[in-house]
Amino acid sequence: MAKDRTPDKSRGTGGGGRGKSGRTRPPTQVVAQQRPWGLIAGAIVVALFAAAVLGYAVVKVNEANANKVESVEEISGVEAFDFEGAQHDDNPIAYDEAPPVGGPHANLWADCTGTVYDADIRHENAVHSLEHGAVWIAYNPDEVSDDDVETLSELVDGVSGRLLAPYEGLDSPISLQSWNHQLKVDSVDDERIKQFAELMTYNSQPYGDDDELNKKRSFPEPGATCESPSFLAAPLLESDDPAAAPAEETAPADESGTP
Amino acid sequence: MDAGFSRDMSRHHLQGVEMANLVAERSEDPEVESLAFDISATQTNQAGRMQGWLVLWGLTLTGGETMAWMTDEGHSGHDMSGMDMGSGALMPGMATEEELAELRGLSGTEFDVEFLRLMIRHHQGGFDMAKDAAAHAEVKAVRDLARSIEQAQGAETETMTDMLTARGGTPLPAP
Repeated sequence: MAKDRTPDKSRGTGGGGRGKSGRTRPPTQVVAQQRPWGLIAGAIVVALFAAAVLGYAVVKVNEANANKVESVEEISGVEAFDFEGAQHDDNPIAYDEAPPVGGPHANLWADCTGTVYDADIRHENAVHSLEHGAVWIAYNPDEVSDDDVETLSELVDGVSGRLLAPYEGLDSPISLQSWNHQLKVDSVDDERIKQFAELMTYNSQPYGDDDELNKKRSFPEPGATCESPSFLAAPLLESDDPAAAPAEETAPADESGTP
Repeated sequence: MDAGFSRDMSRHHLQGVEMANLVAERSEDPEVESLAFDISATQTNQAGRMQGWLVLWGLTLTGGETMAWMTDEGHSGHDMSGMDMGSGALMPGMATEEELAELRGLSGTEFDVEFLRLMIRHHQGGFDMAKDAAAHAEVKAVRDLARSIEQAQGAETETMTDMLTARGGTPLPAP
């Protein structure tokens, strides 16, 4: 703002100088009268700009506060489950939920270091990521646009504790999973997507002060990592026939081609 | 109790990390490598949490009498008589320097088997410590972490026992 004023002032002094040289001429007075208008206009522009900036900031802060949730119970439409952790099984598992939200799962977890997959990764591995505190965002590739996928990627890419992947045959356009919690939404613009992702990523207190529910439903392995270099290098896919090739055997074969 | 558990469990964890970090160079078994990576990353993180609490409480990270915080109930099953319980003493399930040296000298399946034997025993010791703290620690965050250690190590012990059997090994006596 200080910089904005300087030119106005210098213009004022310059005009004054010219005023002295032609004191008797009417045009001088016209110039003299116009000078304050420039100042006033400038001041108004500056004031309006400041008001707009402040107003925008206030609105944004209010919006952020209005959308911020402290418990998963504040997000409408979230379904909760009561799976216990630590059941590892490399065989294919028939889950009741689609996508699954807990229960037995493969020994290897899917990389969830803010990882965007372009294929339907093996669900048994993704459930293990949930056990490590990740939020798994799944979408039906037939029901969301490329732009929608791009929007979802922005919420995931580079944010440790999240993974994004298409899910064939999903019964809603988008579904978010964390351990024991699921939220299905129809549109990428739904504000609950961000609320869920931000609240549930690596959160051991998804129910705020409700210790009983935190204990019962929060993810089982705090401190576990989302890094899974071997999975990242060669993601296991749901479309691979898991019955013919359990995870523990496909992983090395994919990487090294051991005889 | 909370501080004693945090001190002892962070030290117990860090030996687990030390053993797990031997795997990358010595094992050729992806299943063992993946397990060791999980143990190493998780226990490093958890040890950091516990050390962070000690710093917040204005306490040193080491020192004090080892295992003195455990309740009698927690101690049951462990014969502590005749054991050195100074601040550097071995806790239940921990490997001795000799065992670690031997492990460092192995590779391939021999290494995998010995690693699993030592890590199973290590987890069994850690499980009992975590179980006692999960039941009796005062601070909620301490109880919560202890509970998740108890659950994770209980399950991992089963996994590792299956892996050991599959590789033709037999478990060490429980601590």
